[in-house]
Amino acid sequence: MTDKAILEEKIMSKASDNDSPQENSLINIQNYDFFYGDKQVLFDVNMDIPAKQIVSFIGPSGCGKSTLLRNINRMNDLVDGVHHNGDITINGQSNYDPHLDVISLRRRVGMVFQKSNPFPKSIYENVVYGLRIAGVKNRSVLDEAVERSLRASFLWEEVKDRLKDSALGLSGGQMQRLCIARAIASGPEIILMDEPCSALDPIATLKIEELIHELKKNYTIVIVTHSMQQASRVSDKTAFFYLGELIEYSDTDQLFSTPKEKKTEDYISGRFG
Amino acid sequence: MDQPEKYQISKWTLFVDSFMSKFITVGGLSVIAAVLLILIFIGKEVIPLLEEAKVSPLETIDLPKVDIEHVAVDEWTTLPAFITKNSVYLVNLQKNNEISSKQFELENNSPITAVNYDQERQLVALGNSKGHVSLVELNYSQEFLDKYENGRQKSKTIFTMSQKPYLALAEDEAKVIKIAANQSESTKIVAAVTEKNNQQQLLVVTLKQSVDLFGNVSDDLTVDEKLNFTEYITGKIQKIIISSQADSILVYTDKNEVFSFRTKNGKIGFSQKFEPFKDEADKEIASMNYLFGSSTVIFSNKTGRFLGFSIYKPSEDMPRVFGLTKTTFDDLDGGAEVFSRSLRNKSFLVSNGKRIKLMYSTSESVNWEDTLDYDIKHSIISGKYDRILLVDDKNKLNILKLSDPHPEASVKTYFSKVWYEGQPEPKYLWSSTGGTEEAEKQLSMMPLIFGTLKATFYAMLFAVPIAILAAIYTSQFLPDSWKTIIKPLMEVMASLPSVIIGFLAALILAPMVEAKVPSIILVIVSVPLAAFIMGSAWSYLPPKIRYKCTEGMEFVFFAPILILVTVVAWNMGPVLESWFFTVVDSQGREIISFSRWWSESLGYEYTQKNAMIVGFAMGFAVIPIIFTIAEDSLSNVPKSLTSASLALGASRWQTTWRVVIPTASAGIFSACMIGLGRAVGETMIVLCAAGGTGLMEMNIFNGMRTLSLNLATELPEAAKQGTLYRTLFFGALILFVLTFIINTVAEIIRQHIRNKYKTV
Ligand SMILES: Nc1ncnc2c1ncn2[C@@H]1O[C@H](COP(=O)(O)OP(=O)(O)OP(=O)(O)O)[C@@H](O)[C@H]1O
Ligand SMILES: [Mg+2]
Repeated sequence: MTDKAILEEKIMSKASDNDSPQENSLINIQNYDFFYGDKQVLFDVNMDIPAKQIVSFIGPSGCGKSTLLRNINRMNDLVDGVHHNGDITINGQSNYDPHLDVISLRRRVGMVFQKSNPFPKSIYENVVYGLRIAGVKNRSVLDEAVERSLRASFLWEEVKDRLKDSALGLSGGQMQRLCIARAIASGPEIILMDEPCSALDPIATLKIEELIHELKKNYTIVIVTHSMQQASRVSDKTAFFYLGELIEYSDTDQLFSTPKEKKTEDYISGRFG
Repeated sequence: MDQPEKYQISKWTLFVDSFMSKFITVGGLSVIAAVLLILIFIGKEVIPLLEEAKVSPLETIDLPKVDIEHVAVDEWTTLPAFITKNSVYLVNLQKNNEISSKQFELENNSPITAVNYDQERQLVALGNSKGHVSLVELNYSQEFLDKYENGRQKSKTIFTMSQKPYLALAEDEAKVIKIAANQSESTKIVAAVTEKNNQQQLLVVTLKQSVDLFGNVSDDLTVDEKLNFTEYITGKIQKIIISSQADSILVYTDKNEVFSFRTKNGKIGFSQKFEPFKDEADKEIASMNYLFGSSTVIFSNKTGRFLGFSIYKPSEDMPRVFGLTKTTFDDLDGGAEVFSRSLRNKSFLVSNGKRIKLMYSTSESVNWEDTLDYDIKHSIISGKYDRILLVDDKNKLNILKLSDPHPEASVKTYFSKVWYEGQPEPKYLWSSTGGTEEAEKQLSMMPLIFGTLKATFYAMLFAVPIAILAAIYTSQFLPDSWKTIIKPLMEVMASLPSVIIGFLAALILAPMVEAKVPSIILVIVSVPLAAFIMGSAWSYLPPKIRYKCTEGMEFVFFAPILILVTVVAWNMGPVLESWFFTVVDSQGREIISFSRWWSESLGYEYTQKNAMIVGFAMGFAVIPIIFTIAEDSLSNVPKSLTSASLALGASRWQTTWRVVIPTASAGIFSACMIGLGRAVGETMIVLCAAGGTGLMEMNIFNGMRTLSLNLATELPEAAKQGTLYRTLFFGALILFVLTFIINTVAEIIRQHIRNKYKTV
């Protein structure tokens, strides 16, 4: 990898490794409140997300899962009139540090959306998009990144002969895996996934879940899901949100077997939501 | 029908549904029908242009067995006259072809030896054996009778002739063997060749009609000047002709040379000698005749080649002389034995033996040709260009009906360069009126098509970058609260009547621009440059400062700087002008003026109403259209795509450039095309600000004439069903086809782009 942006980030993460507040914790959310205009949707959220682990967010619709996720890479900046209290730090560096460039933050924190959103370009161009905008022009670096990311997302065998074809010709599941490949191609540290399987059939879902599991080796993954089974299948830790509050956050096995809170129990046993 | 009631669709819903679908079908079909009807209507007006001339025999009348020298006819073809050396014979077609005659007066019984007739001025010139000349004016008039036929009052044609007293031209009483005469309002010229002892003389006399105190022209003629041009001539003179303005005499000799004498500063003198068939194998001149307007002379030789010579200035500082302009006429074996010209247009009728051809000078085409079963001795085309009179070798008069409503229409006149009368070279020109009746109609479509494209080009040059960039900025960068102000504002701009834009452009912008061209150039260059520099500088600012400013609101900082740059650039204009755009006038003074520099140093024309003004004004009209459509298609790019790009760490501009613009490109393209379509057909603005001269130059500081402008200015005045009227409709058809082609091509390209970038 010769990509200078990635190098930069490596150096940066090394530097900040030292002063990380808690051993092994990569993302640190402290007293976080969030507002859309006057409407508060997150209330005093505190959580630590450890590196190279999968954390899933569950909770009833509208409880603020996506909102929190989207604040980890500051995608909510695009919404007019938002503000917040508290802080989110990654490797000890605040997301709201005035010296921080949002662009470099987003290169570090990749994102996969609920609805797959490949660009109307070729499969190849979709994957290398992140590198191209980072200024990588070297053909062999790009080729290498395409193969690596497509292999990592289990798509390589299916598309290696049609890399120049439009990405819009893929199936829904393939498109979603392409979006994951696109997210990992530029080498982020963290991947955020907002209900990545909600539009997929069980087989495709399974493939993505396998993929997520595989990615854990190299990436820290935060995933929002509505499927309790999925949360229990893929994640190491699970956070349960209710009406903008973090109700319970613990190891997945523990949360699903012996929830501490009454609300959690009601939710996972399907009594509401 | 045995479904439970709750699954049944209400009758009303079904009715509305079927009614609406029929209504929409009918609506759609009627739109197509309306467009087709317009096309059919235009086509109906244009198609007659393709019609060829039709000639059909009407009647044949025996004439007295006399030696006819010339034929004359009145405008209504009721009373043809046959001129011999002694008298005029009249055949009254309204009165059972009754024949009457009137004798010319003689002087001392000296026989008339030469006679000539000019159809245009209805002037007979007589010369006798004693060197005397006399002029006879023929006069036709209409007298209305108390009888009605088919609701029209019947009339009778009255013929009168008045002979002027003889005038001694040759002092030596030499016999006049050739004569020609013509007259303008104030002067008459008589030119004659006399012969005595085998010696030829070319004598010319100019006559003035005296005008009394009250401006009445008296009948008395006074000799103004008597000239002897014999010295210029070599060889025996074969023919003399005089132009209908009485300012030019042409003679040719048996040496096949032509000598031209022209009036300059009121005096007639030798002008030029040339050999028409110098470059041909057969050099022998067979005929020499003026066309209507006397600007062109048609020569033929015995092999039957025809050449046209027109009078023009070969270059700005040279006098007008005859030069070869028409070389592609059809041949007529043996040359033009008999020649007559139309008094309406540039048609002429030539015949040799039984062969006859009706040719048109502008298009150099043959409009009608035939081989008749009699030998033609004399011909004449009636004043209304609706009858041809032919006298054959058996003194029979053949009257033919001529129907040639659009002689000048041809592919050549519309689309090729034509060497028009008075022009130093072949050109594409449009001038449907030409000032006088005699002027050659210039009906080339090319300058109009060119003008249309030129106006469109400059308008698009101005409008497309501004509209597209504004659309990109508004849709991608501006906060929503501002968008809601900008978009309705643009729509207000779109609803501005183009006549207002046109008037503002012509009355305020044009004079202002003329004085401020360097300032405008400076502003056009420096504003984008400044914006670019500021943009680059901004991206180098540390994020801390950058993020102080809400995304999309950077213009709050930029706008004052840009305004400052504009003001400075505007005021620097005169400085720039004084550095680069000075000319030295005839008195050696330095004059600082861009427009004079442009025309004097570069040799291009500068007109106040020019392509730049049209570009600004039409661009102004087109910007809101392009902006609105482009902005819509940019805003319609799915948010999921921009989010995907931003989440991958792309900047807003990278997202715009790499994702939004490609995805919206089909929409942006159609925005430009709809703008283009509007600009092509735009009329009011060009009417006000384009100047209207049909030039074929890309020069930005020059005007143009567009198809639509041409249509708007000339159609109200064009005679219905006339050539101009139909030609204007032909222009409309071209405009129609032009927009049709643009739209079709645009749609094909748009589909192509859309398939390439269609989103899920
Ligand atoms: N752009 C926005 N502007 C205003 N309010 C918003 C916006 N996006 C979300 N909200 C509100 O914030 C609250 C949390 O929304 P969020 O999308 O985070 O919920 P969620 O937990 O992801 O729900 P779901 O499971 O349905 O996706 C909701 O009440 C929602 O209406
Ligand atoms: Mg959500």
